[in-house]
Amino acid sequence: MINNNLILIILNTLISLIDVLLVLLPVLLSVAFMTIIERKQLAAHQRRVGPNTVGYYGILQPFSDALKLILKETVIPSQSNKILFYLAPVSTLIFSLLGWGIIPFGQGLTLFDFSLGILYTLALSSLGVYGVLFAGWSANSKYAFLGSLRSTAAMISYELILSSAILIVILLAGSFNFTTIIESQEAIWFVVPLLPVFIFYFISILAETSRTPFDLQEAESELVAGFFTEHSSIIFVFFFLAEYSSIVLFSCITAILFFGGYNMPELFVNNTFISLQAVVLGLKTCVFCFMFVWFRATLPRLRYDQLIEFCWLNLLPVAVAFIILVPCILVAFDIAPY
Amino acid sequence: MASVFSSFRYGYRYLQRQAHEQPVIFYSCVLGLIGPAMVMTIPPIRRKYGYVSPERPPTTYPLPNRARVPVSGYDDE
Amino acid sequence: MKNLFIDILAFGALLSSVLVITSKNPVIAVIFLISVFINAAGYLILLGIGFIGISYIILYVGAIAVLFLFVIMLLNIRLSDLLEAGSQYTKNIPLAIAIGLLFIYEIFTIIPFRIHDVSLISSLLNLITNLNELFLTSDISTLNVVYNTINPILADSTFTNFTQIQALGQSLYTFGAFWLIITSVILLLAMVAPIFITHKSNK
Repeated sequence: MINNNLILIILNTLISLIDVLLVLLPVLLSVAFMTIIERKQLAAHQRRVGPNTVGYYGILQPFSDALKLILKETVIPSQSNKILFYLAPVSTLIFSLLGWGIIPFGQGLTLFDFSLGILYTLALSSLGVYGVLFAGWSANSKYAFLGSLRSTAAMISYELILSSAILIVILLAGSFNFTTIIESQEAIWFVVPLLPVFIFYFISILAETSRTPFDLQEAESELVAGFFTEHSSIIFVFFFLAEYSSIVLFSCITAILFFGGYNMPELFVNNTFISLQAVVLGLKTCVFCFMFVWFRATLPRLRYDQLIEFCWLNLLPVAVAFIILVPCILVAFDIAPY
Repeated sequence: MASVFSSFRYGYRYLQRQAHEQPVIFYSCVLGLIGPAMVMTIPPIRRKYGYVSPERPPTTYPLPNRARVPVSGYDDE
Repeated sequence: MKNLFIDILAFGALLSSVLVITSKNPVIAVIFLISVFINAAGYLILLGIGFIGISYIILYVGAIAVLFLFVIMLLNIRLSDLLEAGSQYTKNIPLAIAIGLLFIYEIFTIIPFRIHDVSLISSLLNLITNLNELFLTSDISTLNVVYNTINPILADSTFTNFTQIQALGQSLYTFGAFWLIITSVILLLAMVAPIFITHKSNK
């Protein structure tokens, strides 16, 4: 008794699944290659070669890393809370990968053209804090717990600055939708009027993903490995993937919010063979991934109390000043966007 | 909240001291105070030089600019 | 279908709230509190007000529950004391049942309740009818039941389509402006007070 109704439902579900796979598979590949890019680029900054044995110039290194980590022995502490021990890294990876659902690769080419896209991204970055918190607590070891508390406190502090910076971009664009924000950058990329905002936004992104100079939590000399000390093979892979996925995601969001997304002057849109707009977005994401690794190679790390003091005493007044200044400029010159 | 050394509470010296010792808060306050100052001073200047703010797109039916005309013939009998 | 999910989320919120109270470990209790918030946020999103739903997740789950978790994780709660105190609650069960029955009687005399309205149970009881509908009709509207009480698309009455945030802002900042300013002053006080209390002025 198969009729139109059922076929339609099944086909719709299949097509949605294929859409999601079309976005997720390249994302996972890009996350894997991000690790080798980081190691080769760090090596280039430090005048050495980096991994070059596994493939041509070390290209297949992430796959050999993954294989090694999968084949390792998983050690679970006996007094730990086993459910949370497994769930925390899984949830971190899920919330990192969920953020890719609304990134536009063309005009309206998203998995979900959400009218409240920016709020979705902010909600996911708020939820990503929990993976860190529960991973450290469930390991039942003082060092992991201390590392996770520090990481969480740093992440929620810098999330405030991140939300402020994103709010200012929304004030200029007039909508929460990612495609609208990109289209309203046809005239000029938002980095030009909002350069100070871009500066403190980039600093807060470095802190959200716990990268240098804010990575005291993961520094091997301090707390062994921070909150994922007790997590061994597969579970560590999840944390590793989640960290690099959020690096690539935040680079993409930086390119979208401040640098025009898929816009490029005089770019012709020809979606039959290849979507040039997606290539442009990919190139801009690469520039910001490069900057992430560049910052890691160049800057020393901040001590933890310096980090917290920097957020609350130095960045927050600047963020609040810009939140007051930008709407006042928009009102005074009557250029509010709607 | 008494600050540590305040050599002249609300004078020019105080502002200069704060600008040298705590530049972040000082310049944030400056940027934040420019905002409302701009809102209050710039639109009158623009209006004086002939800028007419554009009409907003309508969100409801515009009311016609005449007195009400009572309708007839719609009552049930 | 949407009604089914709304029922599941509402039931999940109630179940999680019961588990908040009866969990032995306080961190597990906060985890179930987070589950309550997430279920409530999903309920609001399915109801159509996505903005308030997502702001529930950002504010409640992202800030308030993290605050609770920090406090509970940093306190030195002895689990054995809690377990010992918890085992003495069973002598209050008759009183709890009496008060619960009184509450249920009050609510169900005011609100009429039929099992048919709970779409989860009624779809299970009418499983054969529903499957019949699915296989034999060629009409896709039996799957997504849309209840239109107010027809929103009368071609000559709606000019613009406000987004939810515009609609909220338009009434909040004009009619509710006074209350908004009072609320912001209260929040400012709430922020300044802990800073003032915990500030050590080192002279």
